[in-house]
Amino acid sequence: MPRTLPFFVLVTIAAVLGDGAIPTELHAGGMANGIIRGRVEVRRTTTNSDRRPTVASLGAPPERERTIPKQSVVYLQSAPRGAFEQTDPGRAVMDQRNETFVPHVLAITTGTIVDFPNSDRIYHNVFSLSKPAKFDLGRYPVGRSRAIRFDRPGIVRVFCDIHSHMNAFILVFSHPYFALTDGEGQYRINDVPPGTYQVVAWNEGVTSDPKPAVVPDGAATELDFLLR
Amino acid sequence: MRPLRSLQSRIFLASALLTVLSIGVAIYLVSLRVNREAESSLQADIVATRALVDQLRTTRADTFTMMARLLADTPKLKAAVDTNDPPTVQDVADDNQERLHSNLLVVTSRSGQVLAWVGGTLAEARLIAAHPSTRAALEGGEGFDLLPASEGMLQLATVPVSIGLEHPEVLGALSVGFLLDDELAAQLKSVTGTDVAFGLDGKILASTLPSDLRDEASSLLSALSPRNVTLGPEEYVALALPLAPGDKGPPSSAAAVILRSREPQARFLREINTELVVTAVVGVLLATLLSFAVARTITRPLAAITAVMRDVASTGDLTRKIAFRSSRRWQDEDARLLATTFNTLTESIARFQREISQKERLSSLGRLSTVIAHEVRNPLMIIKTALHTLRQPDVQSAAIREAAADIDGEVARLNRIVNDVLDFARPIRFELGTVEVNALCRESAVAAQATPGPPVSLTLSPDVPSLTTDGEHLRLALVNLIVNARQAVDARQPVAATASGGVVEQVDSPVRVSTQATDSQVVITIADAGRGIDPVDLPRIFDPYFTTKRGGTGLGLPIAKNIVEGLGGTLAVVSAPERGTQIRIELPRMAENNRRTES
Repeated sequence: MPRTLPFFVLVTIAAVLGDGAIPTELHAGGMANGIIRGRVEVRRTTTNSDRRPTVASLGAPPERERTIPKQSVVYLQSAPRGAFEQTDPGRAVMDQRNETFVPHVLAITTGTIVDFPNSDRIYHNVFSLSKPAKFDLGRYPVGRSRAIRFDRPGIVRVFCDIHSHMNAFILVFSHPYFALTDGEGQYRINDVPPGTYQVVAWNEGVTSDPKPAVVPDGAATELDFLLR
Repeated sequence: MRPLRSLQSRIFLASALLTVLSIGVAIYLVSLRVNREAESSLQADIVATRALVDQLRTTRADTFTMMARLLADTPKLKAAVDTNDPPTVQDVADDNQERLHSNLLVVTSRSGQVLAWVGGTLAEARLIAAHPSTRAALEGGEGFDLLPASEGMLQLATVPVSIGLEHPEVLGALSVGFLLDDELAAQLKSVTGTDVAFGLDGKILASTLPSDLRDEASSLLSALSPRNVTLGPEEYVALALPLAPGDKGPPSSAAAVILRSREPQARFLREINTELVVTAVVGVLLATLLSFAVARTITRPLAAITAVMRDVASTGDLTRKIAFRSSRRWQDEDARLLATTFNTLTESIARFQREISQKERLSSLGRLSTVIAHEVRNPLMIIKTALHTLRQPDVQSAAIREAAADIDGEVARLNRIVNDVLDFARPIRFELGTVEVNALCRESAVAAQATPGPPVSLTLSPDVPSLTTDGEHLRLALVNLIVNARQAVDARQPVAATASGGVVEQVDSPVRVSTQATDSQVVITIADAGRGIDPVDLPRIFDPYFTTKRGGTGLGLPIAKNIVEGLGGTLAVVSAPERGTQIRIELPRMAENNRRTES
């Protein structure tokens, strides 16, 4: 069957990240690294707040923890040379509580092993069909945990095949220059070698246009994003 | 109207008519009722079928929407759509289409591109991806549409593929289509027995009708009330059902047409009518036979009674009885009663007749005794006197002769009396011959005038023909009557004017004998100007031994009447006291004298 659809934009970005970006500027060692910080504002209208209850809502628990505002991720589209060697793969945790993946957004570097413990009171499953990591951890009971290592950069969306509303994003980067926003949308990327970079903000599958950022020697630069 | 004269025919016709009428009315009513019931059941059927199709349509719409929702909610599909990778989505779509048995399944990406499709063509899939319902689904809404398809009409449920609870994120849209095709129409027909057609925009897309009738049927898509229509060879009642695509869908021209053939109803009515007609014919035949039989139970005894009556009338045999003990035809009570009554009647008549004749005999005997006592004693006295004379010692020869003559005369008179009595008592034996009536009258008048008395005038018509009759007896009767007439005149006019014994042709004569001929009769009239008959005596003048005259036997008139009637004629008397009497004898020209040979 012929496929004429354009690939999803995020996939393209992930591919670019995976290939390794070419640094736009080189700096000699010994210079102090700078900081990129700012605020990401998400103004997304909820289009279907009045829609009828779906089948999905039928099985949902009546009460749940108020979810924190969806976090955004800000990252450098292109990383400085040698950045890939600086990754320090470790372990990360994506918990499952109250039929929710916690955290909803996880940003890691390649090679990181993510544990998916089941801290709920029911069985769960974790799977993904995303290009960078297609996997299915199967269903497992409360108290168990399963893990998987993410080796390819990109955006991986995970689901639970028992609970259709459960989903989470794992953004896998090949460099360490990324940051999650806090409750107020503030972010801070530390240790950025001085130079000029293209910076992108991501929120729930929506990416901003790359914005150029000049990181001065040992100082901070401000960069705000507005996502619609 | 001649057939109605007979009781049998009347009973038979009335029963048959009544049967035909009642059966006819019954058949008419039954037929009317059956027709009405069939028509109303047809209407009810078509309305019920429409309700069924409507329910089916709603159920299908709900079911398909639910299916689409369930499918859109599967994590697999969500995960696949989220990848935005057509091969990934296609695998999931293939799996699900197999499970749903849908005719079409299209997955559209968030940006409105076709991610995967199963069934149909890419062009169709793109059309669906561009459909307003799909765009609405990408905004989080749902849609249910009816679309024309190559094999019929497509019921298409479109739902968003979204994730998340509080702020659902739309990943794409899923459209699931099911065909309203000929196969579904055929299934509906097998359930409801009704033809079904689905159409859109004035065009039939799927139906159970043959393809050549679809164009004709397309006008029925707007028949919102039952409409009679002829499609090809068959007659249908058609009713359209607008197919609103869904609860919230825009108005559409899609409709289903329910077509109920009148043929089964017509066949049913034909069968009923045939059965009714057969029943009617059999009923009429049976009723006819039955009424005929019933009529015969009455008329056969009647015919038997009539036959016996006729027999009794012709033979005068009152001992004849209707024998009904043995025969089965007499089971009818009324006929038995009639026959019994008839038998009783004839018995009574016979008994009365016997009593009357006994009485008559006794009274005749009484009167005869008086007559004989008087008539016989007189001659006997004269004879005795004559014998006394003869016994005298000195009888003269002249006296002897006179005595002998007296004895002789009185013996003759006695003999005549005996003859008269015998004549009346004995049966008359007629001896027929050709008789000249005028000559007979003339001879009778001469004979009657042998004794002195008034003259007899004759007025004889020359047209009077000869008759075949008994001349001797007729003469006896005429002589008797003419003698009576002369005596009647004598009684009024004791002094007779004539002494002549010849026939005087005199118009104003006190006794007139005339003849006259009509077409069928010869009439002899004997008229006198005598003293007439007392009205009190008139009814009795033909009774034997009734007389008002001294020396009469009272047998003259009865004998004359017996003779005339015995010859087939009639004898009538008209009389006025002190004016005269007229006796009219009518004799038939055609001889019927042999009709009766005995009095």
